[in-house]
Amino acid sequence: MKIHSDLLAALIFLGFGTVAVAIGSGYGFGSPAALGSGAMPMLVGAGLCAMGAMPMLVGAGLCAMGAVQLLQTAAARRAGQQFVSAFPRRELGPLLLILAAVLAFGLLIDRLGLLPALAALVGISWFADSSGREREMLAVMVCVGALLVAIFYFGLGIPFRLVSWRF
Amino acid sequence: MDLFSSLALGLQVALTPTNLLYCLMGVTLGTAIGVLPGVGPIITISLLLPLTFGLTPEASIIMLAGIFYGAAYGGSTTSILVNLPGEAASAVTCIDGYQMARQGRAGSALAVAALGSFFAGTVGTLIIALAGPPLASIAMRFGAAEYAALVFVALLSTAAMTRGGVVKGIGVALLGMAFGTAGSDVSTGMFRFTFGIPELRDGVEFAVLAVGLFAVAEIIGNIGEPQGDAVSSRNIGRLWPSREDFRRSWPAVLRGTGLGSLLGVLPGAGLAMSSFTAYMMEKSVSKDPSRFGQGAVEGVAAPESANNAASQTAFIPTLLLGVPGSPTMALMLGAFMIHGVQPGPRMMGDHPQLFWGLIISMWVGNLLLVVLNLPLIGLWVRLLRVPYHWLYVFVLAFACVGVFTLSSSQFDIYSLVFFGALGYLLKAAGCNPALFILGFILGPMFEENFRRAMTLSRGDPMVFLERPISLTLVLIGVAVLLATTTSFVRRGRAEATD
Repeated sequence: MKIHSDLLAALIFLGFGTVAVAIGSGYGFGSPAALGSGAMPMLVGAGLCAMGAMPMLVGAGLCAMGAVQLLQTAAARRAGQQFVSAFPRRELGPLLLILAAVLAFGLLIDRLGLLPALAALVGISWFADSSGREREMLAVMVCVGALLVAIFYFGLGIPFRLVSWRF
Repeated sequence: MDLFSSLALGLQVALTPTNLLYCLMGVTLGTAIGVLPGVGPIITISLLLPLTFGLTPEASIIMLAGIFYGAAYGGSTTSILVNLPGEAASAVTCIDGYQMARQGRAGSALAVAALGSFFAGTVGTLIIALAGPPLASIAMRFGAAEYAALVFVALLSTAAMTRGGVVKGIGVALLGMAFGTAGSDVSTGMFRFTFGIPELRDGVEFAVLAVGLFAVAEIIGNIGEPQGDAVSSRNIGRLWPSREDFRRSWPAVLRGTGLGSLLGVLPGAGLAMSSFTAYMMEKSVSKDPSRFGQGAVEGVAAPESANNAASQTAFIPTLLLGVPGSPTMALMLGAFMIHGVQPGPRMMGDHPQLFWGLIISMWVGNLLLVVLNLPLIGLWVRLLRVPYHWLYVFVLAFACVGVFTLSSSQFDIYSLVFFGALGYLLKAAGCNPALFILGFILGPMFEENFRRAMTLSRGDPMVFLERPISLTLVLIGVAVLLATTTSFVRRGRAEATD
């Protein structure tokens, strides 16, 4: 089955909604003691004042939206509507490369310092777009490094380690 | 404090060299990103959020506000010259503006857009200054029930007005609210959704969330898009509008300003809707509607003044009630909160320098935009030649370094990966990630006031229907929800997003 955008929305809502309800119910509607001196009667409303209530309410709302979305999608499918996949193949490469570039930056910044982390970021994310030539990449790497060091290190005076070795 | 001494205080704050410099930086940056396709005010403001930690509240808010209304100017420049709207609000300016440019009247169109925007900006600023004190004194009487109802209406109407349908709109706003509940609970101090991660105890870091959802996710989406061709700069023509253009455009500017000021205040309407509505209204009051689409100057004047007026009055709910009416305003609210300033009815009394300084600086910024923009048009058009594969690498690097400076924590960078992926998924699902931000900011406000109202009423939910202001607000929310199912609003929304 192709995952198209409406189905994806339903899945996201249902997934996060279920988690919110499940964990939220663990926080509970609160015990009478937690609610205070007993001034507040244990009505329906009293439950709504407790800290688990909001996550559960929001989670239930999310589940409801997910269910409605599923029903709408099913109706559209019966009506013979054609769906396009929510994940076009040409976006998959950029998605993984951009996220990998950010991840690499996070892994390297403390261990090797700012400049190597930036080099890795540029070196990985550059290939997300095929229109750039490889010769250009070095130029961009130097430009990005120089600009960011100028802005953050010299301009704002943030004490980065430019290059370091800590494993 | 009377109006004049307030304005004098504002002038004092706005005209200090530092604040003037940041205002200039904001509007210049705003214009630049308004010109560049694929980089909008939301991305830029979220990218700069981490940087503003080091500045004074006045300087940073003045700069971020400059970006917001500066982008409205920049977007119109490229709409007119090259038929490329840099952002949604100026898409409608393309219709007649580009036609005027093809007839060699680009200079005239640009001047009308700039002057109309300046007039609208001045009126918008004046409205904030005049409406501020009385509105704040009304808002002072709001109790928890009223606030909860107000937040409910703001969220619901924005969710209902967004593209992609009501279900997705409400769903994604709820998702933002769910993320907003993470961290320590306001009334009990217990941790929710922290999963044993110490960094999550203060909740999800707002700046990280914004950068991930917008900058990172936006880059992924934009790379896949095919790019437009490089642009040749065309003959701009004389820069001063003819007498005929003046005669035709001033009533349009007045109408656009009025409409924009009104729509800007409403939650959910936004800049794009105000410029589209202004264009449609201008077309319907015109004696000769067939001129529209053929280079009618009213078709430039009305939407441009409308979106600029709306970009000023959008500050009214944010500054005076503390309830943002649009995602960009939610970001601005986040910026205020980073500096420990809680916008709302008390802000005018507690932080008069910030409040009046911001208002005057918006007027100064509008003036700077007119003075700067017209002579620099050539430069802005040249900006369009920056290839996207240079731009995105820089934006990404800036995002990572900026986020890392927040607390020098690797966890923030890993969160960035998570929110980048989430933002991409939401876009793929046809959900507007901007609504996520709104839910994230408004959710905790709603919960706090809702719980307080329920506690005060001893658990009786009827409190929201018994108090007149809150009842009105709840009814408005329900009416908005019903209205979105009617065909008229649907059509308007569809046209505004195409």
